Amino acid sequence: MRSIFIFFLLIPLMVASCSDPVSDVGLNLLGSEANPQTATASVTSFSPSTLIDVTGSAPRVLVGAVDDPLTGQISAHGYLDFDGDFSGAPSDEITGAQLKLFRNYNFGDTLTAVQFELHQILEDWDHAGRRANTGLKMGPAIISMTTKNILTTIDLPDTWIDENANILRSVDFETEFHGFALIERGSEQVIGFTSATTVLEVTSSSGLTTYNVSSTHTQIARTRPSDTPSGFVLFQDGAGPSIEFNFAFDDFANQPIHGIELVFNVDTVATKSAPVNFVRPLARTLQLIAIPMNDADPAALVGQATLENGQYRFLERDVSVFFQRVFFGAQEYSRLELRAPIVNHSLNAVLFYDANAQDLSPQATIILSP
Amino acid sequence: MRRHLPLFVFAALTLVRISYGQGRDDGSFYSRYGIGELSAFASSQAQALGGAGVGLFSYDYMNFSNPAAWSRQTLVRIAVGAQFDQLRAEDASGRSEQFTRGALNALQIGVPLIGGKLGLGLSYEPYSRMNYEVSTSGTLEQGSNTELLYQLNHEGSGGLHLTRIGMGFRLLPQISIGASTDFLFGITEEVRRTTFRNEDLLATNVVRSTRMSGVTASVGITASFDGENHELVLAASGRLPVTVNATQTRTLGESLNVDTLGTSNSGDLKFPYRLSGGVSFRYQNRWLLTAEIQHEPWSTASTALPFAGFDSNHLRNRTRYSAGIELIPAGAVMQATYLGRTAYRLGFYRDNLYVSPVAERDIMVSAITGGFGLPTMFLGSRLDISFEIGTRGSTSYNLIRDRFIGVSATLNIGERWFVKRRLG
Repeated sequence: MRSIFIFFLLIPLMVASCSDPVSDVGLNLLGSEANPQTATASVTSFSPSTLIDVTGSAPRVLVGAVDDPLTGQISAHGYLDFDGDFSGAPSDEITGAQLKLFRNYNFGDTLTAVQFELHQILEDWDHAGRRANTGLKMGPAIISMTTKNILTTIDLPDTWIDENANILRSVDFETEFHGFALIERGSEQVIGFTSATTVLEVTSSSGLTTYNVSSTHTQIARTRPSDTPSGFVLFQDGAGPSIEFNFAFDDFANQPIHGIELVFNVDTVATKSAPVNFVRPLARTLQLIAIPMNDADPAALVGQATLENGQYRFLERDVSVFFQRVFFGAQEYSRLELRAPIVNHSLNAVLFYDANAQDLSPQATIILSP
Repeated sequence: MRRHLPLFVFAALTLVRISYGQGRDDGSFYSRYGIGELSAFASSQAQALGGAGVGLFSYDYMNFSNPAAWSRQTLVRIAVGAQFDQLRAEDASGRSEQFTRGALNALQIGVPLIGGKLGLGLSYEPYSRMNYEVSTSGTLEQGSNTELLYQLNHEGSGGLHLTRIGMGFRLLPQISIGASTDFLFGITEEVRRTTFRNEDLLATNVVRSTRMSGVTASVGITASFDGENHELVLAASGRLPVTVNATQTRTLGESLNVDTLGTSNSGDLKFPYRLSGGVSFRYQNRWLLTAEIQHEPWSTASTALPFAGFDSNHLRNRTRYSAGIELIPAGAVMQATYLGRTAYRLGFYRDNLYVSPVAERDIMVSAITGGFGLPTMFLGSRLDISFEIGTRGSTSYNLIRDRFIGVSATLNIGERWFVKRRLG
């Protein structure tokens, strides 16, 4: 029996004796094969996309026209709808109505005035997901405007007020009124009005009623194609094109990765090169979008990058996680795209070096453990 | 023994828990290769005698290196043991590290079906063990002026287990034969964990798990020639080649929400036969000499699945030589002093690993073994304390030299069961 007790006494001793050190003995046998390494994937395609930009619900509307030696001839019509605080809606006679438009964007010859007509929209419309190639049914011109100012104030004529007084006083204003169209009429630049401070103000004897912007949309048309220099691919927000591309990632199937960096080089000097007083802003921020195998499915936002030192570099953790899932077959996409965020709705442009530009062509660098 | 049975079950379960729970403890880096480090446990007596067990007959021990030896059982016997190893590893760069680990040796059961003529054997023991962990840190250059600091851990754990059931039969007074069915099963897990100081980079925890199972058989024969004061035993045993079915799954975890990535691969591992031949000589129940040669042609092993070193360049034919001597000063005299009834053992073995990290190079293992068989107050039961001191490999060719010390404790209890007591 004593022996049995001795035996059981040995068990905790054996347990207590165990340790958990971490050693580096044996690393010579492992060599460097297992160490993290960097690898590159070449770009297999990099070209303008046929995507029509979504301009509905953007925080600004564009209006005007521009004949740009780089990006071509473009015209833009803006559409605005309003709602308001109807507890204070005028019940008495309306004495005046003003549309106040605050400019926060220029593209083109900044010394010239923008000319446009104000129309009333005649159909109910939904701004969500509305693309730049769609227009809206509208009535005849209410008034023509020419402006160079930050604040453009449009005094709506009495005839329009008389025709719409009941709608302006109606508790169903939101559904009965469909907004205004700003239709370009012979401009040399495109300007943008911010929806945040653009208002419709109605004056009556009881005071001022303010209607805020509820919906926005910009219809954009390119009437002359761009003249993109050889060796470059043009990206332009709003008017398009965006960029579609793919990398040769087949070699990384089932490989665990630690990080991935997609770099796109641009020629900022060539992009900015323009006649005197001509402003062509650069696209500061771009999004990396994965288009699903089935176009009907929603696209996935993979990452976002800001132009810095002539490069857009997508290297956030979320980008790595996305491609890790792709490499292991847990995620699929048909192609990748570069798009501008809708919150930056503009005609901003940038010239990318194309796939044949050697060191300046798009590059993917992957950090992985083989 | 029946009253100690719950204690045995508890001890066995505890030891199994210990051995599994310590799967992440560190052992030899050589266990990274193939299916891990092979182990075998014939009996605590044979272990102290260099492992030379194939020719051993004993009434106090079950001998699982030769099923023919199960024929002579007279007592129901249970043995359970655990081993504690301390290992000092040194590589060619002069780096050294000390490891400790503890694990179950075996759980063995023997039942005499016809006393001294037909016996049943059951056992569970580790067959191979993967048990290593190495770590390194480094920098990865990214671009012209960015260095990324990383930490890389390689770990391996798990192994194959062997469960045997068989019988030994005394065919003639001098000749015994035996056979067993041997089930191999287990899981190995190899982990590569990479972490970066830069939090934007993904830490990866790549795990390659291999689930394996297979069935084979062992056979054995002994021929004993005894005289008035001595017994000479010639013996041979062998295990048939085995095809182990394996399913390998690669998973990636830690910083990703993805659980299992990639696909599982299935395939076979073909292990070679094992052939052992040995001799033992007992004199006056005091002296026992034993010797054994064991051979396994591992160069014929193969698999299509990725295992480190499991290819024709790195697999090596294995030959193990072992011998030992035992002295019980009092022989079979039960009235002698405690020290006189204690068994004193000394042995050695020389072996080479079945797989080498460096192509065409054998990794030699040499050890001295020894131990004591301590009598207990229960007839037929002993507590065995065994040790081994040895070296494995060398530091040439960027290899590693392991210096190891092992201590094990095994409790062997034998008791007469199934005996009808006579009245009057």
